Amino acid sequence: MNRLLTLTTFLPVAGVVVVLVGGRALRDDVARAVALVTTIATFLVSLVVFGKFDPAVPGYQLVEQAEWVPAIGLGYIVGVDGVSIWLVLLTTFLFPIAVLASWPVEKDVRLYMIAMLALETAVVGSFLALDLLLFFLFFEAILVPMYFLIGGWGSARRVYAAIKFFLYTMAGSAFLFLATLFLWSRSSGLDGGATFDLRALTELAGGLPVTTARWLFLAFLVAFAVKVPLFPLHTWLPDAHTEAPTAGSVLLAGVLLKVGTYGIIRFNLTLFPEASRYFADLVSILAVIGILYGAVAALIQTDIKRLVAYSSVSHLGFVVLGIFAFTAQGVTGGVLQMVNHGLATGALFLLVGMMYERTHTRELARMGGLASVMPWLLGTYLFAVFASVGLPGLNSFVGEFLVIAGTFAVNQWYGALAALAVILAAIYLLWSYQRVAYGPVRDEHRGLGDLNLRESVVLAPVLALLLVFGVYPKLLTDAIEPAVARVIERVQPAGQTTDVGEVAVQQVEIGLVPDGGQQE
Amino acid sequence: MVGALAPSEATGSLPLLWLVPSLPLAGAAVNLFVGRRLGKAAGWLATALVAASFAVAVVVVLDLLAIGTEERLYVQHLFDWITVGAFEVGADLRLDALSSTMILVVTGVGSLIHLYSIGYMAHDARSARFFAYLNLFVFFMLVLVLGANYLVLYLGWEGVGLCSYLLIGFWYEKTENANAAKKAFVTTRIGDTAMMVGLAFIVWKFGTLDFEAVFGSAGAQLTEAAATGIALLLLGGAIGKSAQIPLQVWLPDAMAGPTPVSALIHAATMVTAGVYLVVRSAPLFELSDIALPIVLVIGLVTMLVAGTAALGQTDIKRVLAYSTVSQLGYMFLAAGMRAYAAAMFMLVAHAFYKALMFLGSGSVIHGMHDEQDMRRMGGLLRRMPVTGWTFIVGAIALAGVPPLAGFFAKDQLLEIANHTGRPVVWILGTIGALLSALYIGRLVFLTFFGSARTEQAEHAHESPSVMTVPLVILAIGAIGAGFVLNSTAEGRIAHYLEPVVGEVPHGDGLPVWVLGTIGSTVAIVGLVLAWLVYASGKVDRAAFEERLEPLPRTLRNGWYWDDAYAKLLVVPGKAAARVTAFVVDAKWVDGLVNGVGRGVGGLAQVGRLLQTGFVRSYALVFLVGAVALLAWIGVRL
Amino acid sequence: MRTPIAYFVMLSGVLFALGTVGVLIRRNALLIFMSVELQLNAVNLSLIAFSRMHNELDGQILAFFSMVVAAAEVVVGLAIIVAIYRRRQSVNVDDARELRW
Repeated sequence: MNRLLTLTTFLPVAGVVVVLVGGRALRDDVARAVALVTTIATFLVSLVVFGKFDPAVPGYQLVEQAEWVPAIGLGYIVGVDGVSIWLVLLTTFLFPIAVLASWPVEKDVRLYMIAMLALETAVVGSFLALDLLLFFLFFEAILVPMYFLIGGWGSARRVYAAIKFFLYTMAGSAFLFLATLFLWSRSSGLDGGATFDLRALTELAGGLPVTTARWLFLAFLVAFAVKVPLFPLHTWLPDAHTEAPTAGSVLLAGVLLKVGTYGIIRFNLTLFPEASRYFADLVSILAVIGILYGAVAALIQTDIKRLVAYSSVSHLGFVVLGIFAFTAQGVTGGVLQMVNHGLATGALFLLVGMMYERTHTRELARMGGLASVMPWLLGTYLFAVFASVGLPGLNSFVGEFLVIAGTFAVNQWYGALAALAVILAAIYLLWSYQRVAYGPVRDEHRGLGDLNLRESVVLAPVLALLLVFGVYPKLLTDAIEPAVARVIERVQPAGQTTDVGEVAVQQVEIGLVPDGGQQE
Repeated sequence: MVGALAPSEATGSLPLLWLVPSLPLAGAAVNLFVGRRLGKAAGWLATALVAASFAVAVVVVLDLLAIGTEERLYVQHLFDWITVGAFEVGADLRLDALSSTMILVVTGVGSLIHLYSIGYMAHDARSARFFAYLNLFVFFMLVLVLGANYLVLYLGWEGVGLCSYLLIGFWYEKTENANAAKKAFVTTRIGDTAMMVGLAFIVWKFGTLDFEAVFGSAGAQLTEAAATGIALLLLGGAIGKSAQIPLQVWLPDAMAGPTPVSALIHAATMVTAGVYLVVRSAPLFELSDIALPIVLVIGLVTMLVAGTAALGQTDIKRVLAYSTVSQLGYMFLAAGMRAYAAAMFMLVAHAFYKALMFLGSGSVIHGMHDEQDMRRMGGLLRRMPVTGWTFIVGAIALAGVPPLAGFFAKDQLLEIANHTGRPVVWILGTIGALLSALYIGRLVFLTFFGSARTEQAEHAHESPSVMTVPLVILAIGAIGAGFVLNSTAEGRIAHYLEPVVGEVPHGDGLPVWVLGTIGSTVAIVGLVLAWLVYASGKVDRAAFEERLEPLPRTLRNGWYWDDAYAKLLVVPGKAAARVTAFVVDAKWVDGLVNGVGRGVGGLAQVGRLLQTGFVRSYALVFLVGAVALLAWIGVRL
Repeated sequence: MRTPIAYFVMLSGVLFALGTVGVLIRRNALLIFMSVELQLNAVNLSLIAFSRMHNELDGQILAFFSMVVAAAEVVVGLAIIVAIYRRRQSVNVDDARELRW
């Protein structure tokens, strides 16, 4: 039987074991190397997974199933589809980069690397688990290493941020856990007895009373909305982002937030299609508020990491908005935006971290003129800034446009209001870039070094992908779309707009005379 | 309305079309990464590649001309860009009469400006970077005009915005340059966002962004309201890019960039993209009853506001900037009257004479060692003859003196206004023509005539030939463009563009020769008036302007649009952001979260008081509890 | 004639009450400890008495069990008390109240 997914998930644990067994005898450099080799190996394995994955098949693939605790119906079930494959790849891709970016960490290197590796297993596990309780275990397991990364290696207010992050997410997960147990308790009547198997529960959830399903939807939503984060449950994010070490911010923005949006697609939409439609407006409005709110709040930040953090709130709002449009373009755009935001914001945090290592400040007011001192670093930063701004030809634009177009066809207000954030993004990102890069150089910053070899190696693959996914997004969408289509099929009843492209094409073919007014 | 064209087969050199944008892109890539090692060669490489692109464009367009007018359309599919469900966007290039006109202008004028830049940027340490950006700009501009669907157009649209940002802020050590760059990008982004929503609107109604598909079914697909919505949203983008009211404020500040940039981006090419967009989207605009009238009014108002503001400027480049805004207003005016071919003719002619004048002003600034204030110049014609005379050619062309390019363009426009029963437009347009003659006359007489007013002006020197040769070529263009493209309503360019943009509107009104006479008289009167005030020595210039206060100051500040925006938008916007971030977010939303935390902490504070440390009291509580439990069980039994 | 079960239970109850009162009112840790022992033995007594009543050995086994546990507990408890005495020269439980809020 194929064990590839298990290997992807647990290979980092092998690294943990090596570092643990090595103990004090392991020099810091060796610990770093072990982490790097392990994460790269994991990435290679995930590439093999990608190779074996057939984008044309809509369902779960490479499924592995084993009993774990049969007494309570807990199984070890993992599998990938077109949505999770990209998130897994994004994760395994960003981890070696994060490890390499953490080279300058000097404090308790072995512990740090153990936390990183454990985090990778937990995140990959969350994306692959097809058993609700197994997912919950991985989902919660993310918190522990992340807590230590923020609390142990963060900056001044790290303890506050770490505890806030931990408690906030835990509070959300409590609802997830209750809802999971409720579903489980209802599954005892099934043939195989009580189970946490997502596929079995999907069947079951369809038969639940409408009100029950709606409550369960909300319980799941709260857990994931905290993680996304969806307005107004976002306030842990700026603190966590700001205080976390560079790699922590990169991973937080790059992959951790996506666990939330992924959970919404995988669980909320799949399990409770009727409730998803029922709450679509509520969630969309929150998403639009979040998009604008995050952008407006970012306008005035003085701490550059906080600014990027608020921009994440805004960008993740796009993802949620796209998902709840229930059109092929909207949802695909949302998933695309997950990957793209991970890359673009990941790059921003990497670069901000590199600047911080040199200038030892995150205050915009204390930077300035850096472009004259470190042209390559700031040039790279500008590239990432424009990717984030949503410049066509770079990756974020594709997702953003698909979300806006996919949403506009369903609700013009949501689409148009969300587009306003595109203006605001240009304002806050360019404003901050100007404060950092342009103007006269400050005396204390003269003589700072430009990108070194390690940093170039860290950045090059990310930047390359920013361009590649902007010019040829088909690489991503070809795999995403069938999986998305399957989700939409469940959520949206026949006769509704699910494909913005299709509806109109038919009208042209039939030669229908003016619509327009009717749909408005 | 224009019917859809049948795309023709790939014949002759047409498949080479992709080379046109690719060559500058290659130049940009090379210069960006290894430009510094190339040294002087960087500029020559960039110029050569744009020139090569021009050559390819000429060859391709010649082959296009060989095709019959009804099939004069070639679409090249490069690769699938975005495909989601039934919604497909290809990376497609489209060559037709309209885009072929544009690529010739972009690559032609572009290569001259590149050549000029070699001289202009010779002493700049980062000149390789400059040429990389300039090449990149040409690439995006070509993508913009060659795009076969709205999304590819939008790619170029945003791309030129990016290059504009990079180039305005090229000397970013100065805060004001960086500010101007950001202002330009953000202001145009406002329009761009409207345009993006417009694209979403089109997707909603058509399910595609392809020009042929959209225009082909527009009549059947759109209600009047929907067409108005789409047209106005697209117009938003056009207004931003072409610096029309109310988004015109960024262009004068954009003069902070190196002068070749002002010539290429902020005069000849990028700012005309808005006109191109309106002309390209004409089938959509025409479905709406109010869209084109709005275009017309915006053009008219912009023309007058900017034309008057140009009169008050003292910085030579800012005069030209406001002049550009004003001239773009003319083009919008033309498009608003459905005279698309006239708009395009104006666009081409303007590209020549305005690029010429910007480059000339750059030459002046170069010769004056970075002095831009016209009050500190004077008498430069003798010291910089080539620059001076070519500039004068450009100025006469702009003023509309026959038989130069500007005359034909403006004359045709006013003729259409008169012949289609728009007397107000005609009169205001004529006043606009007088204004342009006045401000350009003022510029020329202040700069090139009279006596040198400063030491610098005394010692100004002519620029090297790498800079003056492009001036001469452009001057020939400014003289000849009118003849070659021909003026009258049935002229050559109108005929060429007809399959794409339809016929120039006709009607009855004053005879053509009367209109032409009025037009040229107005131009000459304007120039003479300018001479009287600024060069004849009969009028005390300073006292004259003093007496008119506060008008000159108002004009110098561009009618205070910037200040109004600062007070009405920037200040409240910042306040709103501050409230959102530091009150709503920090105090309320996060306050609630931290409040929950504090609440739990407070309860715990109370609860821990129970922990007295007296072992015996614990024992007592234990006993009481045990007894109570037993009693409860006993009662239950 | 057998002694009625009630006598045993009453004696056991009295002993337990004495132990409880001792725990509550004494301050000397040693005396509290002895009172706890009294309570334990009161329970043991009733265990044995009921065991005899039912003619089964379960209760006696349990009593032995409890005695063993009590012995073990005494070892630990006395050790703690001795340690406390060494440290503070007092075994008054009201003095040792550092473990409060």
